Amino acid sequence: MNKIFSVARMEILDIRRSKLMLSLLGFFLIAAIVSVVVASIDFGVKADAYKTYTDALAASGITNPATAPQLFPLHLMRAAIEYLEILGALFAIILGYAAIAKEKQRGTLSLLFTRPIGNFTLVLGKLGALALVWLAFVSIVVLATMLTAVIAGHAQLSATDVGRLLLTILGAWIYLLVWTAVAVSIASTSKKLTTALIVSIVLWLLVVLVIPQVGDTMDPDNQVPGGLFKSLQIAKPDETAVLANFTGYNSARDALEISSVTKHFERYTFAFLGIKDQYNQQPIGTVWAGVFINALALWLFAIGTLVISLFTTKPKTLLRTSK
Amino acid sequence: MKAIIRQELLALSRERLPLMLFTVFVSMISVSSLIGFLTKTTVSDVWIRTREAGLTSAPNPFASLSPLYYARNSIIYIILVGTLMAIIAGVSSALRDRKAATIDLILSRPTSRSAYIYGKLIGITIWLSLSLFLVGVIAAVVISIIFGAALPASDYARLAVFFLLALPLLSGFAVIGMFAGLLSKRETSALLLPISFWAFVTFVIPQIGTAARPVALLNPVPLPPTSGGPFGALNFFIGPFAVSEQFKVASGKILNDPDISGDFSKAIISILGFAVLTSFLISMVKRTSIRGVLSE
Repeated sequence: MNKIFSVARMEILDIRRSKLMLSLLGFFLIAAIVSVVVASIDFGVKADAYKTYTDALAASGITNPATAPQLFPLHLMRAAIEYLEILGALFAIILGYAAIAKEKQRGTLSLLFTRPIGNFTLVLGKLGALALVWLAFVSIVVLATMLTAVIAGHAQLSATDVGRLLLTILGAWIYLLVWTAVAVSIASTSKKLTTALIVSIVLWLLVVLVIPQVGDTMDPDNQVPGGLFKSLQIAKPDETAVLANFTGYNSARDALEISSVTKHFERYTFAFLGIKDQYNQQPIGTVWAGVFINALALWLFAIGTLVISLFTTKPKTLLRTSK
Repeated sequence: MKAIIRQELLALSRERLPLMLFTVFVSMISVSSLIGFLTKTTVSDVWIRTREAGLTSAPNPFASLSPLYYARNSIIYIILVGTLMAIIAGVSSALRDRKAATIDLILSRPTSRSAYIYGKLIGITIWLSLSLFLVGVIAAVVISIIFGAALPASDYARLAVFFLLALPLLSGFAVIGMFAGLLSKRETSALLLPISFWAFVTFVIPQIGTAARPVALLNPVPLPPTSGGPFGALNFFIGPFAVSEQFKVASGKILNDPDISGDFSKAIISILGFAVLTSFLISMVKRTSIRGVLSE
């Protein structure tokens, strides 16, 4: 166990010393904070527009029939979560790749494996360290964006909101671990490190950007600005009845979407943050029941990728691919 | 310079990494038209069902759309896959001679620094032009098959202009990749820095100017800035730097997409300016930087 801790300690020290890693993580944190500031300003603009509209109607003796825009503090984090979804996954790949690549590049593996260490010591130490780094990073990002929402957006948090945020941190942490484990596996089994990095990035491109984009494109309601069914003036129950005739098409679209871990992460976090309308202001238990499948899928992706990385990062494989 | 261009083309046709992304690029452009067709058919079927059930009297929203609608998704794949392919081609090109330690030998010949850099850049641009020509032909054939007839000549011309417009965008990103390849001390940083720059340009800059969320930016239709507040002014100053969003505006207008709003000439200036500026800046890379030793 001490050896695993030694590897983990060394890994954390390396990350702390890497200017590139710190710059990337710093860049992400700034982008996330800016996104909350932008969302807060955007809300302020909409609230002002509503007030101006209401005042103009009042001056004409008419009551404004539209409801005032309501601030839900957790909604301000939506863009930050989407950054975690896209850029977070990319940076998780970079960190996972770097953890293995540096050992291969420095030629330290042969020396390391002359010591009496077990088959899984190195990978457990490295994954443990990266898990800690991601937990700290996700917590900092969520805390910083929430503080920004409170200061810039004048938002107020309830105790339930804190619970929702903790569950969001948990989901984001698992999601980033999945990508780190994928990159560790690919870097361990590739003889050429550049190939490993590009293969990981192509995978990221397909799973994080292309599959969800294709899924969204295939949604008939997204094909007309403002929504297809709104433009056809069709009520929700009728919409459901009409779509029941297209189960084959919708099942294919859904199957495509759920093949991407990113979509599960999105559905999970959007539900807990109340971004998805049906879960907004619902008790945590209700939300949990609704997204249990997505939470389970996230865990299964994590367990699967971690197990694969354990078995692909054995000394024998590493020594063979680093020659 | 001719020898450098020829060598660049030969190397790019042999290297696996740019070819891997090229394969993804070709596949996505081919599939995108098919996805457009499936979606349009489904929406039309939905409309027929709702009309038959007496639920709507609205006209079919897709009835008057041009066949170029099927090329709509190609815009997003050029931004997502094409630009990454260009970056990787640029990085690979710049790192090749440094990794093989042949750069000193090349520069010992009567070859100027700018001839070396621009020779490579011209080689990459020709390779990108050929790639775009190929995906353009594939897109035209697939759309014609889906449409069930040859398109009007003006539509083919619009498709050609659309893929031609992608060239300065991809060349600009290839130069960013070359920059990183020529200046970075490590191979990993050479790959990561331009990809981070791409992420910044594609997701962060447009968000500041329009308040659009990052995932919404995966839509081929660019979002107009929120009216009111500082967004109009922010978008005026920052918008031109969001070249991927400008590419969406210009491409949408070229493809006759009725949902696209925005200033066409501003978008064209932004894309061409990006290509020209990056091409000019790379001439400033010093000889000592090009000859710098890679740490890994």
